[in-house]
Amino acid sequence: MKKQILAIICASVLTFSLTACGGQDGSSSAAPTGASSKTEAPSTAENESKSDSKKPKIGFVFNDVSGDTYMTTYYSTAQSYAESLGIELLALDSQNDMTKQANQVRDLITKKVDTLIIWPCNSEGGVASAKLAKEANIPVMTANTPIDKSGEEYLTCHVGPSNVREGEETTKQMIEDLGGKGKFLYIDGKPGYSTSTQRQEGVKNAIEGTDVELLESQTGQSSRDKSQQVMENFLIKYPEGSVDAVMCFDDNEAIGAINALKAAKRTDVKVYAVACGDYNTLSYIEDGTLAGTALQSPITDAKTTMDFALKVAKGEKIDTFENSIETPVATPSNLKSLNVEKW
Amino acid sequence: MNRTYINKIRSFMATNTVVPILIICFLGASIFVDTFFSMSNVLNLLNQNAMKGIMAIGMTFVIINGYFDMSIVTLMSLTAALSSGLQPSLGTGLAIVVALLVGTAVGAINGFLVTKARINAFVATLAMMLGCRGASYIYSGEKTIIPKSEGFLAFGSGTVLGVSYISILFILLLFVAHFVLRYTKHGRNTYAVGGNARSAFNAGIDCDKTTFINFVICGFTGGLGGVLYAAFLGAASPSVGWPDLHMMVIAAVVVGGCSLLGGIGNVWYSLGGVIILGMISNVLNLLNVQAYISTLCTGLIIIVVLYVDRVMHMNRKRKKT
Amino acid sequence: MRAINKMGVFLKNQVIVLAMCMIFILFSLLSSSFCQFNNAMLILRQVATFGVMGCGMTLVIIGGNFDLSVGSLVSLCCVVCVGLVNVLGPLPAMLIVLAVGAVSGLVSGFLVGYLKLNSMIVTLGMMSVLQALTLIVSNGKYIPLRRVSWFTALGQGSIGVLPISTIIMVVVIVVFATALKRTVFGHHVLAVGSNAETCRYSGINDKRVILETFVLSGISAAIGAILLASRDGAAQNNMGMGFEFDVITGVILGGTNLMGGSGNVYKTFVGMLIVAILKNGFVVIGLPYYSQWIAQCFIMIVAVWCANRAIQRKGEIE
Repeated sequence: MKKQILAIICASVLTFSLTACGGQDGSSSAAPTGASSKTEAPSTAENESKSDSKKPKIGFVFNDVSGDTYMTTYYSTAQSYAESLGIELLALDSQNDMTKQANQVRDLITKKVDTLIIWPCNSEGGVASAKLAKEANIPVMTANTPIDKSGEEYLTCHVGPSNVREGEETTKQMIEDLGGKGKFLYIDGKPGYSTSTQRQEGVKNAIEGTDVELLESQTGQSSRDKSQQVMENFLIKYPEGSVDAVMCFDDNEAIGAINALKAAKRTDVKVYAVACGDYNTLSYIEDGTLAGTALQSPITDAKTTMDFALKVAKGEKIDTFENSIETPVATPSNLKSLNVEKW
Repeated sequence: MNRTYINKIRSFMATNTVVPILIICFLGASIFVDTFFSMSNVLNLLNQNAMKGIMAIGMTFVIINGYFDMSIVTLMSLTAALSSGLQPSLGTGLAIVVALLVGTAVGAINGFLVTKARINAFVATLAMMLGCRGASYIYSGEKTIIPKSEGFLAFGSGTVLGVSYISILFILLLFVAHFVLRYTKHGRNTYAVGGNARSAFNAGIDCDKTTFINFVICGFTGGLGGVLYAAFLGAASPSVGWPDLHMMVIAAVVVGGCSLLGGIGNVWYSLGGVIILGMISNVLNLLNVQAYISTLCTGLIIIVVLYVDRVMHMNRKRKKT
Repeated sequence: MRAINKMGVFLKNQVIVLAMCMIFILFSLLSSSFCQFNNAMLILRQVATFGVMGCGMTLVIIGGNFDLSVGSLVSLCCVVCVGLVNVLGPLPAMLIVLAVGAVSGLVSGFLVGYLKLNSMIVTLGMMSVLQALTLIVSNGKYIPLRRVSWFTALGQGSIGVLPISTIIMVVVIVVFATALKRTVFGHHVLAVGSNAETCRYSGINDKRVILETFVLSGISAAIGAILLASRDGAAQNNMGMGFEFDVITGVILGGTNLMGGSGNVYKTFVGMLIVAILKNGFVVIGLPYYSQWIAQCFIMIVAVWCANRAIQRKGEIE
């Protein structure tokens, strides 16, 4: 019996300290994210009533913060930028799970945020969440990845890169490099994620009516490791001379493909990435191993999104529905002239 | 007079460990999280976890029986895809029936593999997990399927006084499951087989039949969970619930106090477990805890709850062995 | 007659090896590019991490437990490894990574062995904890390998035609197999797995044995992570996600008894090879990657069913 009572006490102390320390950790989220210092954790009622009367409260459900460098940089930028704009940002991570995201949207509705930003894990799955928030009279916008067309009526606006355009422009660059004729492979992103489908759509649009042929497409799950394995297997299947280029969903996958090519000592295949979200990848363009990619800065993306979110929260009118950020195509020859700002 | 009451409460708490744990978590959350203790959030908590709860009911049957089912969540994604994808060709009603039948059939295959082919339940259900996952990817071609029927979607998002239809279904199923476990022959057999299969067999209980039925029940709830998820989310993606929802369902049942060795537990424990795990994520979301820290807390809390449960169960386990 | 029976039992014991050969032949018939020397080496390179991780997992499962945390542990170790190689150089980094693996194993082992918590749920909890630690350490970013050193040779280089990672894997497998078959520790693991109660009465410290299996599992995951990090030349925080299921599938295919008490490290390796061949083969013959799950499902059921039959048969003969 004693032991049991001890256990209860121990449990209660732990639970309390965990919830309490959870709150504190939230407030000092600076520790891991560096730049983003104090997002006020509303751990007490008075704290909330003091700070919240003025500050707009914006809820943001992320697709997968830990997914890759792009999303991580986006996440920390959004937090620190929101701080500087005087926004109280409630940022949650769905860890790429549709069901978690649906629940988190409900939690944020309970919290009565002024604006809800959704970075959908899944474009069709985001529709129901957007609808729910709209019904609770919370303006909703999507960031980076759009939701399905059927859900646009619930949205105020969308901010993010145009994935179709990125796909088209990078592919045009590839077609030009190949001299208008050749065969290529495509390594796709996460299946069912609308960024993947849209980028692929862009690629397919661009090759239509040309002599460039898409041999095969497999998913690399947006991961460097998986993409490397896919590429290794491709190289077995397509011996020297049977393929001219490989187009990857993003720069992570492209680096995986580059690694596979290096390991197989093959130099006949050019590597392209539809978009590049990691600044470090620029070194691959410099030394020419990555032949072309659309540069997409997470910092611009995050800051633009937060600017729009603030406007929406203040009730200002947004004129255009689609607000795309700039994504210039970089190649080894034009990289210097683009004057890319470090991110 | 007072003492006997206290003793009674004490022994109730000691046997139903989920109750004190739940109370502690609830009080802790109410004190530290200002928006937690409100009607809308408590209902929100119930509505969020209803589908997981329904699958936990099926899992409870299998776990009391002494096994567990790894295939339940990929089965869920398969039936979610089927119930959405078949709607245009078969009509909503028939699509749901087909999805439920597929769920039941997979449950039956699990049951067959475990009882007749004598394959270890973990292996059999892990194999079916892979099979269902492959099937749902093949059926949906990696794409997300949107259910077209208005009524179907309305059911998924509809509420009565803040309680969603799905939660009402969940509560009804809880009572049905409670009745089956408590008052039917099958329920008693389940406890007997889970507690000690050999003596149950000697007492003339058809162990294989009992196990088979429990796997079928679990498969059915998996199928139902899939249909409800499709209605709730308004979309069915083959990756829904991957990679950890099935472990979360099992964890909920175990955290609630059902023994993985079998023979101990009831659906109310599982309800408690589902609510505890749901509460953890709800609280962490409300607190706006940094994403990394919230993952860390989830892990730690699961281990702590398990430890507390273990210590409080000590007496009972000693009795059992 | 007896000889034939014995032959039959032997064949059924080796059913998994036969299955592997059949799968290999099938893929070779379906695609001419599958059965090539280069591809075989590629499969061996791809299987290295899993082969090493399988050793530790086999011991844990023989001891009657599961370790679901190995996937996240691989992610953590990769991140720590690449980060430290950049700062400290390869050797100290690798030692620290092994220590990280051991400590993680120590924690799960303590919770399972000494506090008697259910291994599946505990390691599920550990999975979240390790994931979070990975994110905190890496800050969610890719960590590229900046220093060029012999470290990259571990995963990318080869001696003659054999990849170095494969050689390391073989060494680890032999060490683990010998430890299981020929040492007192190995016998204790087998004994604890088949009946912990009896062991306690006969003076074996079953808690400690279970703790040790988890520590070894942690270390083997760390070695796997080193190979993976070296092969990729970078670390990502979700690198090892879902590895635990591939590893457990391999161990099951290898015929290890999930209730504990029996198992074989070499056969686990064959199981891992099957998983790797399926992964590679389906891409090479041009079917979508998810077809491999259906194939794994059938092979798993058939293999385990055959193994069961073989055991029953053996019992009848004896």
